[in-house]
Amino acid sequence: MRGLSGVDLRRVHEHVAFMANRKLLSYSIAIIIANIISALFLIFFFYAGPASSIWSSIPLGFSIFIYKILISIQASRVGRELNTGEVQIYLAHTLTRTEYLLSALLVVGITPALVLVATYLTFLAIAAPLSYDVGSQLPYLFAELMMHATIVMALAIGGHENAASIVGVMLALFIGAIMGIPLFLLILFGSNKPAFYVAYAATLLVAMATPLTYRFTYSTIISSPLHSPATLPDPLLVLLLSTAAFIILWMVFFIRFKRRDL
Amino acid sequence: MIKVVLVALAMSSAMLFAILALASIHPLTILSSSPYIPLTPPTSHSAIAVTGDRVCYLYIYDIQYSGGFGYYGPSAKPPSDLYQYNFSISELHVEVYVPLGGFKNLSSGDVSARVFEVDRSSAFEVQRMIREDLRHSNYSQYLNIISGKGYGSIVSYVEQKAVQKNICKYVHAHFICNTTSTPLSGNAHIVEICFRRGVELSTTGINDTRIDRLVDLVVNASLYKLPDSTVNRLLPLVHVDVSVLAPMRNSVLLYPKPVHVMRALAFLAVFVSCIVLHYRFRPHEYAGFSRPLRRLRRRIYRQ
Repeated sequence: MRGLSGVDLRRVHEHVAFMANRKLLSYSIAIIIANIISALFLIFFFYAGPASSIWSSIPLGFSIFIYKILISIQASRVGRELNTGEVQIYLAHTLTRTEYLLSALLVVGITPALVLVATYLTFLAIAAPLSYDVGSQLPYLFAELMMHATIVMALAIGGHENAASIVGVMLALFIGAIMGIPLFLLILFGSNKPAFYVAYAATLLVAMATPLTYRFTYSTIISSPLHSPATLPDPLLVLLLSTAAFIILWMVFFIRFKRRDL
Repeated sequence: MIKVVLVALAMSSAMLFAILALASIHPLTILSSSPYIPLTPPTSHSAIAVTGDRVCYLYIYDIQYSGGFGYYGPSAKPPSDLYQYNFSISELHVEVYVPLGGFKNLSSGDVSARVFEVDRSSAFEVQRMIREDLRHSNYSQYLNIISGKGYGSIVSYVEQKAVQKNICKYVHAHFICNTTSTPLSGNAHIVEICFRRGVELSTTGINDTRIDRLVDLVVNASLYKLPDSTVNRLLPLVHVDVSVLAPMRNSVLLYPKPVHVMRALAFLAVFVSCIVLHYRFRPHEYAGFSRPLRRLRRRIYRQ
């Protein structure tokens, strides 16, 4: 079963199954914790209605945090394989470099994002009709997890196994605070043109790394009398740029990984 | 990857199934509060009569509450039918306050007040009786002054129809009457305040300060050629403040319907079936599960 550029999808599938199954315990723990949090919020906050965004944002935020940790662990494992030379065993006989990186992309980025989105859809299908308010968050959720996977994989492919896990956990923990700095500057320098452009670019960059968190922050800011929404980057633009960024970055990873001296 | 997604979905539906099944057996109270809502009585009608040695005032307050979802309940229609909202007001606490600070040397024997709770139809009848008497007597264009005879028949009708009758307490130049009312039934409260004819007001702006003389002045304003400004000053001789407190019981229950539990069960069945199907095609992926199962089976057979 050969796909584009001579990639054997069956081999990729086997390797993905192998990589995912060896972290099945981590997946199970992550799913259980995320589900308990979601179920508790479902019970205690859903009566207020999705219009308040409490139900959909807070449990999603917790679930995202847990899944980001999981992504960081998976990426760190890939980094260890590269550092210890374990990767050469896979590449010697069974997999090409493209197939190896494709399976890493599927395991580190796409599987957690898919699991979280599918879990949420199941929750909503059972408990309530899918509203636009909650449904529209899912592309942002997917992009947020994919961007996190891209950042940690950039470190892992560079062989920085520990950096991948530490930066991954730090980003998951403090992304709200990191985003707060350029946003604060943007609001502060709203009228000062050169400083405003710098703050706008910084906000856009941080927002691209975390589109769902930015969308929530954006809706909070525009509903408060702090600032006019015209000067803040539009969340949809952020989503599109974020999607484009992770696609381009993964293409760069594929090209660089092929040329990398292992 | 497929296995991970399937296991995640099966676990999610199993967890939701467990919570919903548990909640459908024992409904869980999520929110419970019992705040007091202050209500403002919407309408009042009054009548005045000079009867025997007394000057009496009648006030009718329609006290009803037709609330529900809105300001005091959840603001929007709930997005899910997982919840049951209980919202009730069992009884309204009515407090009638009559300030008597404007009277001179008032003693408890000079004044009396009573509150009657009557049903809606009786309240309408009282209003009709007042209107009828006003049409016949036509004492004053300023005050709803009715005849002493008409007043007597109204009060006896009210006493007869009263669901509740409360005599108000006189405390330091004001009356306080505490009573209750049943919400949603549209009951009305009729407040009767009677002064001895000789009671005097502290300041009226004119020489006369006796309450019966003042009423007489207003009745015969045209005869005495009183200017409108003086009449208007004499009109609010007595006023009554009515405050109503509604103790509300408000609760939100997690009370899933069987359809929610069945939906969760259906999802669980579908995902478990998918796992079984996946196991048929790729049993080696489930080695992690089958090994402990095999060990358990061995242990059972050994015993």
